[in-house]
Amino acid sequence: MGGNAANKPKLLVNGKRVDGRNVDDIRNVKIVARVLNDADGSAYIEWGKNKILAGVYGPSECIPRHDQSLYRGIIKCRYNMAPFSGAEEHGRSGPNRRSKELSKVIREAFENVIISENFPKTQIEIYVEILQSDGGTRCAAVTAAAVALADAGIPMKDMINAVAVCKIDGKMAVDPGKEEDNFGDSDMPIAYSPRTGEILLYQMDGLLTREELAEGLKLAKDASEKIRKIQIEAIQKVYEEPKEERFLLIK
Amino acid sequence: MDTINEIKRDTLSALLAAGPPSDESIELARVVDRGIRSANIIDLNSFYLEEDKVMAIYIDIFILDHDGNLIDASALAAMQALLSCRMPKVENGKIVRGEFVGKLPVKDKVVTCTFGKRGDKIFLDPALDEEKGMDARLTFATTSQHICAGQKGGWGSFSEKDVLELAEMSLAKGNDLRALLKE
Repeated sequence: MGGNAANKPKLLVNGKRVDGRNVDDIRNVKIVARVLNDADGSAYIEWGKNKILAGVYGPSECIPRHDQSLYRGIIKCRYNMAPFSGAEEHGRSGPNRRSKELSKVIREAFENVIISENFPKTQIEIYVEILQSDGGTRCAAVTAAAVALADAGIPMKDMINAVAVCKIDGKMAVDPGKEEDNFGDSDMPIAYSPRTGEILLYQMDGLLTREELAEGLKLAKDASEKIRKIQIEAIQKVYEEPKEERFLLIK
Repeated sequence: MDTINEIKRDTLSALLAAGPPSDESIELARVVDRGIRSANIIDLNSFYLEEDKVMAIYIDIFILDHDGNLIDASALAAMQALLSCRMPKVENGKIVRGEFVGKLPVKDKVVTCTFGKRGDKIFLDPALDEEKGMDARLTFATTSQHICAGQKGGWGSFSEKDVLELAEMSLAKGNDLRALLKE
């Protein structure tokens, strides 16, 4: 969405997308867990050209105290795009209306799975920094943050992840890149809880019919299962390989 | 006419408490905005003044009182405001103040339907009490034919079946709301 209709490129040629993918292919996803020294949990994700760092702190004492709950831990989330992360964000930094909304929906997705009743009066902070953006950053952010939370040892009911579906040239496709995001007809990011099949984050814009909506949900669910495997591998590697070498895995 | 620059901005502000807008009011404004913007119901070519110069639309929403489901109420108000908006007269790329040429060209009516969920019960149009007690909410913006925007809020979750059923119901209930809007 948001692209100028006048110079819209052809997004689907003979069933292949601009970067040569099929409609049900996701981009390459690589995740490395425990990349930060001081964070309780962290993860770095490369999802296509997206580069995102997620750090988790907590559970720690909740400050300010009026935010505390006697019954559960409070989850705080900040999604932030670095000033150098993409053309739109050039030279800007700090929270804007978009990043505040995304921080809210990401937080709400994690409020569902984190067993926060175990940690009354505390806070769990999730920080997601978008270093480079290429469409679908909120989905990659959720995916990386889930790995970072698992790395921090925070009890969760499920390892969640998110993926977007889009409508390009009248067909539904999974995981839109920057061009498909800007010039596509519709964009629908969804976070699934793979264990229960429940939807934890759902946003949508652009015109869709009922049938297209149903097809989109199915595409997202299939992709979500692929991503879950990559997330679990990333956590396993933390315990299999020495720390110094982990960052070098991304090539 | 060689180039047409298309710009449309709906700036919505919700005043729920003093001070800078809260996350909730930002979300409210952005959901209403997204519903109207993504449906492409306004002919943006009519905003052209001259090369590199276009008109813009701003919608400001002031919440005077809150009795739950601000999203649907705000979206209805915004849509009614658009439907009653007049187009200014344009001469030689300049707006003539105080003179109008007909209405803003609006092709369809966008309305939103918000559902609340508590436990396994789902209800349309949550009132303030229901809103305080609900686990999750799901909003769909619809035109007469299509679903044009959606947003889930709250810590709860919806199943795939819920989403499809509620989308269907939003299209049906949306027609009732569309009937309330005056041309």
